[in-house]
Amino acid sequence: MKKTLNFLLLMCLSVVSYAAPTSTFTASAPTQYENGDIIPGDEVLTYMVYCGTTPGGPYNFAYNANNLVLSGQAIDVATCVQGVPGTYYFVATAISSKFGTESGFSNETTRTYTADALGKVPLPPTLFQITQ
Amino acid sequence: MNWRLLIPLALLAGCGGGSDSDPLPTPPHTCSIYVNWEPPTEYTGGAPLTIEDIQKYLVFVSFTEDLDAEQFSMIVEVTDAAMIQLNIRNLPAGTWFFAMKLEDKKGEVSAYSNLQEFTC
Repeated sequence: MKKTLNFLLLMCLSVVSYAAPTSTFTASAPTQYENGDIIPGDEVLTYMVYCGTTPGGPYNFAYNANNLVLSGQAIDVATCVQGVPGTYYFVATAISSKFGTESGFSNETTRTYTADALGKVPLPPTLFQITQ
Repeated sequence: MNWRLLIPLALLAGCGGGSDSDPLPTPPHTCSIYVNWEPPTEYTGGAPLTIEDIQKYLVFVSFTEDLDAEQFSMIVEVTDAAMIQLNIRNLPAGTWFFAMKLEDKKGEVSAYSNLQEFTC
């Protein structure tokens, strides 16, 4: 029997390190499959976080996030952000190890990476001096 | 020679238009200075920054060293990214403070450079 996961994730973001676009994601674990069956306690779920540049998708970059619902998952999303300041869109999925199925996307959350946070602000001119 | 005409002319010449006792005002003291700099080679995150990335330089001239007050007497925009020197002429007498910023082609603006003081 193949069951897909009814996955309700509430994602939030915190802790953005300087220059490297790393964010910490957290979520609540799903409790049911899509058909309404309860996910048993011994069912091992793993998680993915997806990143895209457009609200609603597509989410072209996927990252493993196995600690997502335990302690939060810090993910370096440099491959998605590619050093370009702006707003990025994230969703998560849960994967059933028992059935090998993946849930639909969770709610979408956003994170705005500024040029300052990405280390993309130019340094000022150097050797600045006044002569007569 | 008609002496009766020369004597009044000599008296008038002695008046001299007042130039010795009432000199012309001296022009105000000003300075001509050169602002020199080198372009940065990096972004804050360490990525390389080249001349092609530079949109313009901004030279700030202020009578106060508190740049955050933004009381600038002059802001000169240097749009030639290859320039490394700017001549400012007719700078009025007094103490002036100078600083620079750089704006890249994505519109990101650097922090201020070091502050320079010059007394004219």
